[in-house]
Amino acid sequence: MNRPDFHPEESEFLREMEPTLARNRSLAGPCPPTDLLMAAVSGVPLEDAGAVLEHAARCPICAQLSRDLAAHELPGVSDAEDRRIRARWEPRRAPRPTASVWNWLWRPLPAAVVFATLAALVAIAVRKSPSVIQPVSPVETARGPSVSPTPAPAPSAFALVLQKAAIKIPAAAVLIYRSDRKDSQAFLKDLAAALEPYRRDDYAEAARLLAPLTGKYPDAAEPAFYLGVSQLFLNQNESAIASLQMAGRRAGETLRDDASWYLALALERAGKPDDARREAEALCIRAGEYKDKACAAAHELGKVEPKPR
Amino acid sequence: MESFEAVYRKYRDIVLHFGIQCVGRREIAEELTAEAFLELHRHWETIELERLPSWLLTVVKNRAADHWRRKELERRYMVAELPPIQTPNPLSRPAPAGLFENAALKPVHRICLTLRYVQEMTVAEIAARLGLTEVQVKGHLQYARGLLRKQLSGEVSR
Repeated sequence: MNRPDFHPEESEFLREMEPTLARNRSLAGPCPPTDLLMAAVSGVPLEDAGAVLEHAARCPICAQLSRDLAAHELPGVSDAEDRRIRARWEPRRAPRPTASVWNWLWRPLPAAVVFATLAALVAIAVRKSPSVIQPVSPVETARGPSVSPTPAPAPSAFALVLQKAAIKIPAAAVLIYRSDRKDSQAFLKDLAAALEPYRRDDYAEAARLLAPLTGKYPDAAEPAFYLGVSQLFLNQNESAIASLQMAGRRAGETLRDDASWYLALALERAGKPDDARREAEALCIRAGEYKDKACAAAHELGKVEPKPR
Repeated sequence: MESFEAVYRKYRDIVLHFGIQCVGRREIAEELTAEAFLELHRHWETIELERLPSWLLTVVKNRAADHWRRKELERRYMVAELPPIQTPNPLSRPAPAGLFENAALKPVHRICLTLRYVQEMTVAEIAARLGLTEVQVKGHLQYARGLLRKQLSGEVSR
């Protein structure tokens, strides 16, 4: 809280009030900050709510202030606020391109190109080693001879490209468990162990290790987030949606946008392009590292004809 | 059945105002309001309208709890980073009781007086908190000080 600079008249007023202040000073205890007081009075489940409410019951100043503030008439939602709030669920207002014959002609073209490439590669492989014909999955073929386990960005039926999320551990995560250093260290140790297979692109193992951590550390966003990303790579899209929504609810500033972005990817892959677009649009209006990508993605998703539900 | 648009228009102010009560800052309350209505949009097919607006307010309350938890984490993190100096406890200000009692004072005057002289907020902070202009806050403070001074001088002369 800032200490205000009282002008002389206010300082004089305070001097005059001092005897009254002193007389009225009671043993009600110290007053909590106003925002904390109002949160507790409003029923927000806070750690300190009990102490704050107990104080408010004894302190006439806080009791009066909370009553007055609750009754105070605030301005309603402004036009700018209204626009920002609506942007979270409303589709872009830009006119969508109308479906034409050309759309139908162009749409199968990328798939045809991919198919032709695959056919050519298989033919070459058969010609080079006619005696050893191994079954080749389309994905492996598309990747070529690389032995990297990192899944290549899909060639892709999706507007949003899946890339591996960098590992970010915010400093505050260290203190996730109420500053209990022993628990904090346990959290970091568990998380580091679970992220090791993630680093190696072994997403199945990462998911297996991360899943129990989401329950063990219910305040931490990181296990749910990296679990969601791993599930995306495993093509478990519905599970990824659940994990990333959980991560979004738990996330602080550091992971919030990451969780939204990967949730948009999961939604698109789960056949929910409208929901994916809404997530992308929400990111698009926020400043942050995903802004440009999200705006482009929202635009791309806007071109996809919604599936009937 | 009401449309989502109608429900949004009906409850947006209530939800925003409740959000401001829960977190104190309008821009954060706006975010909570957006999240509450986004949740409603996601559950629109299954939600029973009789549960509104309390369902929305519960979403706001839960998101506000997350906000306070993050704030607390940040505060503890800062405390952990500092050398072991006695950090100011937010619960350390002594509580004067029975202040600003005057029948002529309106609630907004009492709020301004308490926020300024007990909570030591700046005029700008008070204005933002109450949705007023700084000029309005200064006016309320000046009027309220005048009334209390008269009351004090009356008590002294008696």
